[in-house]
Amino acid sequence: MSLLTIENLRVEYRRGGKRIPAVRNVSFSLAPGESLGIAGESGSGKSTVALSLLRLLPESATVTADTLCFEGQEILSLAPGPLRALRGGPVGIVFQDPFSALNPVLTVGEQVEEVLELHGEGRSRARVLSLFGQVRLPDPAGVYGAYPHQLSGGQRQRACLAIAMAGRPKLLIADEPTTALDVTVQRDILNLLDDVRRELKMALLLVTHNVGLLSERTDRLAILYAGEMVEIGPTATVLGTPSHPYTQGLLKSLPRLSHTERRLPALPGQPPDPRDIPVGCPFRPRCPSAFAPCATEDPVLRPMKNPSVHAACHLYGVTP
Amino acid sequence: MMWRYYGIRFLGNRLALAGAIALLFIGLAAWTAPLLTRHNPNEQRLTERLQSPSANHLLGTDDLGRDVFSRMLYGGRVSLRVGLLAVAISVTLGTLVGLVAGYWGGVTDAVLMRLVDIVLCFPTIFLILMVIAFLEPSLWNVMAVIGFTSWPGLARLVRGETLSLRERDFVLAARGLGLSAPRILFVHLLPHLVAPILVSATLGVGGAILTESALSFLGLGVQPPLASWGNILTSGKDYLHVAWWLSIFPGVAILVTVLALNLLGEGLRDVFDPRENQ
Repeated sequence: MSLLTIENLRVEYRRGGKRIPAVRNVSFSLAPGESLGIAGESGSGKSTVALSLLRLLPESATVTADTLCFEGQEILSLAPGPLRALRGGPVGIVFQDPFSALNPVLTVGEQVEEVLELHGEGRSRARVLSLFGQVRLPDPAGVYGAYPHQLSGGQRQRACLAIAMAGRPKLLIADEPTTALDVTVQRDILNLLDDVRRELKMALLLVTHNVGLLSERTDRLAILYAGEMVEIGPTATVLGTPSHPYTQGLLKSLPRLSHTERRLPALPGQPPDPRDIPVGCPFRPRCPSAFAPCATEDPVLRPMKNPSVHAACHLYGVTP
Repeated sequence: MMWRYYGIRFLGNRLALAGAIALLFIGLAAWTAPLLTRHNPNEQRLTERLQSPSANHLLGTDDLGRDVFSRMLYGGRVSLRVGLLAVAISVTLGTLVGLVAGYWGGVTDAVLMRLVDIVLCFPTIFLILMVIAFLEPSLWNVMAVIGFTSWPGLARLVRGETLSLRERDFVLAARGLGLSAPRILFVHLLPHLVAPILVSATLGVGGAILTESALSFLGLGVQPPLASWGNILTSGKDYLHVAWWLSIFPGVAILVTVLALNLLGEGLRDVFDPRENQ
């Protein structure tokens, strides 16, 4: 049975009386221990998807879904109490910016112990130190009594990961966990995420705009464009033989060591304004292979020749 | 953490330091009153009435022959207590209302802030006069009334700070970890508000002492024979032309205390102000 099932997730922001869709037609499921990368450019709705899973979006957002189910619990209809028990417990979350995700006026140790207390284990300095060891923070005792500003960015992100792990999560959501960090530290943090995931057999949802970082680190990969999921499948397959024209274009524009061209091919045009999504396929205005049905009908995710890959594109047959 | 840094800055702020030392001195004098004088503040010796300051009566005696120095010390206890407890009430109430309004926003915020507007609309002194007239002018009533009318300013201040704090990522992170709202408010947000609350409380104590004096002047403050600086001053006004010491000394005491509190409050504001970096 899958750990997390999402069907037809839709998120709208209310702004000035208008409803602006930020995420549409997002469906996927996650098995226990599985890792899924969600990639897309900024504004594609990837962080919104991550935050909506724990209902952490601001009040101006309306989240609807046919199913948003974690271990048999419908998250969208959960009462405040059970929802709080889920957050930081079975579902852990690591945020983008470790410089602002820790409270500057509390010691790091206090912030971990607080979560331990909340999710059933009780305050225990020894457990905090062992968590610090697990995320490979050097000098756990020193970090325990330190305030966030005394730590480096990488150390802080490790501390944030320790906090997320304090509740022994079955699913860890990492919302662009390396964006705010130095390039050299990014790799360390991603490797660490991968290692603890395997050690603790957690499922991982890794949101990023850096597709390159995801290869080899996640079992499956989903690509978001303009709030819609355009392709999802095993990471190696999606990166090796992309089905959707957007994924193809995206991968062509990545710099590669083996390439010698001076100028990288770029996708023409801009992603659509979320206030004015075109009718039909949102990628049509930029798509090199667009044809008649693309202008009228928004394609839905459907299995490809390799059935583990799903893509939303009319090239692979028009919706029946 | 930051407190060491603030301590160093505080020691470098001469006005704040002067205020703090003066307050320490005044507080200590009031606290150790029985050691500093052998006169009972309420003992009347009609044979010794309206004596000018002398070695026996350091600040002279009043119209009932009571020792003014002793009454000043014991009255200081009352005045300081009125100031501190009134501010304790107003800080508790103001902080609570401000935190709740700022964190939840929406309807809660609108309702609480209209309440603040309403309380601010009342001319405070008349409200206090009315309440005291219905209750009775006792030490506790005066304290409570001052406390319950002086919280709106702080509530606005705390609300404003909370509004900007709640948008910070660590609040989202705290929610994401399953922390309850009271825990976020009191463990995660309150420590950020200590500085503005401390400044406002310090200035508030001075204000409360002044209000008590004003009430005593109208005969509605702390009631004799219990001494407060306000009512010593008041009882002296009838004898101003024959016994100046009756009014001057309590007046000076109020002036110095309130001045010291204001210096300390302004000084703390500078100490906590991140833009003030010499």
